[in-house]
Amino acid sequence: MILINEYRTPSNLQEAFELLQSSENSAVVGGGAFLRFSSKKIDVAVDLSKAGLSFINETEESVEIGAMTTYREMETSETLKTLFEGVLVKTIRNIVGIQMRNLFTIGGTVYARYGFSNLITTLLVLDAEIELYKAGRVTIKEYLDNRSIKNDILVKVIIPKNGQKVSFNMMQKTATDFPILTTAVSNNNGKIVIAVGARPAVAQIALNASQFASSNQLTEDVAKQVGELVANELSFSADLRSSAEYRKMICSVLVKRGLLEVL
Amino acid sequence: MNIQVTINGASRTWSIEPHELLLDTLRRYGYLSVKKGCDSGSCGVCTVLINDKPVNSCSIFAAKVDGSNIVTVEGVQAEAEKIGAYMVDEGVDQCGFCSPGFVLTVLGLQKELKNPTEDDILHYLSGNLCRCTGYVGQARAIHKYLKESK
Ligand SMILES: Cc1cc2nc3c(=O)[nH]c(=O)nc-3n(C[C@H](O)[C@H](O)[C@H](O)COP(=O)(O)OP(=O)(O)OC[C@H]3O[C@@H](n4cnc5c(N)ncnc54)[C@H](O)[C@@H]3O)c2cc1C
Repeated sequence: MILINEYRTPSNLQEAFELLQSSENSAVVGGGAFLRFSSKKIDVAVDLSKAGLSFINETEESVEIGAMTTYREMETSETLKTLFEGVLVKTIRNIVGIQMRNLFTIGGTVYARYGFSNLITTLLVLDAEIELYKAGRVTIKEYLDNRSIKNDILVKVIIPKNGQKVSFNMMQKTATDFPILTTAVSNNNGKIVIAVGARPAVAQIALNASQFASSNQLTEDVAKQVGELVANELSFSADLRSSAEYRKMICSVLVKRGLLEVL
Repeated sequence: MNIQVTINGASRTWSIEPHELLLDTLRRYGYLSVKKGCDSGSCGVCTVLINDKPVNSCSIFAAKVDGSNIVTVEGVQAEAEKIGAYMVDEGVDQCGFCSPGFVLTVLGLQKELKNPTEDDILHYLSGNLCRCTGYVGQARAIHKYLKESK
């Protein structure tokens, strides 16, 4: 069971960061829906609800989503319903129920680098960046690769509007269960990027297969070949939801499907 | 620590542990319509309205709702009876354990969506599990309730 000594709700980011630094055992609270499962002893819990991080701002070049924006706010946003033909909405709209999506935040999801995350898979192929209070701006890919970023605050997620076509597919046992596998594919004028998550490790781009897909005319046969390349390039393991072999098999099918959707 | 809330229209100050979950606080203060089911965010029996939005009270720290407006079934008994009657008519009110959470999600839906389609209703209620009945009758009952409550 989680134990919290002091729960604070600062009204700005600077105060939040100072509180976070005030003890080695402090933690940020986003929605708190996953943090509550922790068995840590937390000295200061820093809730960002009042720090002004709930927003979805669209500019000519990008869409910026504040860290405390909930999935439900994203799912009902007119901007996100149309951006990339609504792929971000498709990515999150069936995660558990509305009661939980009123709590889940984009910041908590990305910062925690969850392996099962639907959203991280899509953000990777969108070439999204994140802004951290201390470490500044990095791409999601860099953030996932660089585990030395710690004790920071994720401020916002920035998604460039490159005009790419994007698809998201996943496999679950039931409509609201954790995913067995998540896949996302983007096509930016022929440059293909493919990411696979819930392997069950955190989402990763299949670099070689993406390059192969980008340098070949995409037909149904090529899409099938690329699906198999992705399944062979990435690693899969077993957990209570699926065996590694099953994940690998459905990976090639979902990737092929995704590629055909972004033709 | 203390938090200040408006619960079912009444202003209250509650003394809580900083790591306490809202579900436990509510039950400790006597709001026993709020049920503890899966206690992990999946079943929806602990749903309450927080500032008009349905939220699973098992998954939110009580400290987070400081200053909020909370509604439980104790505060909407007339509406609960009305929705319950539609469910009885369709034969989908059985053990009743999921009913309080279900009723509050329906009230949240009614506040948020003005003209919900059949798909909107099913999507909105997908976080409320019922082990007795299946969902076809529930969907029928809620559809009728929403149509006739306009
Ligand atoms: C029952 C259940 C089912 C789920 N199913 C799925 C699913 O199928 N697919 C899926 O993708 N996800 C699923 N999730 C996860 C969910 O989507 C969120 O990713 C998760 O709850 C974290 O979001 P949060 O806002 O609750 O974060 P929190 O619980 O508040 O925080 C998570 C971690 O991130 C840190 N943190 C939070 N915000 C910030 C910030 N801004 N800066 C720095 N650190 C921060 C916290 O300290 C904590 O370590 C599920 C969660 C639950 C509880």
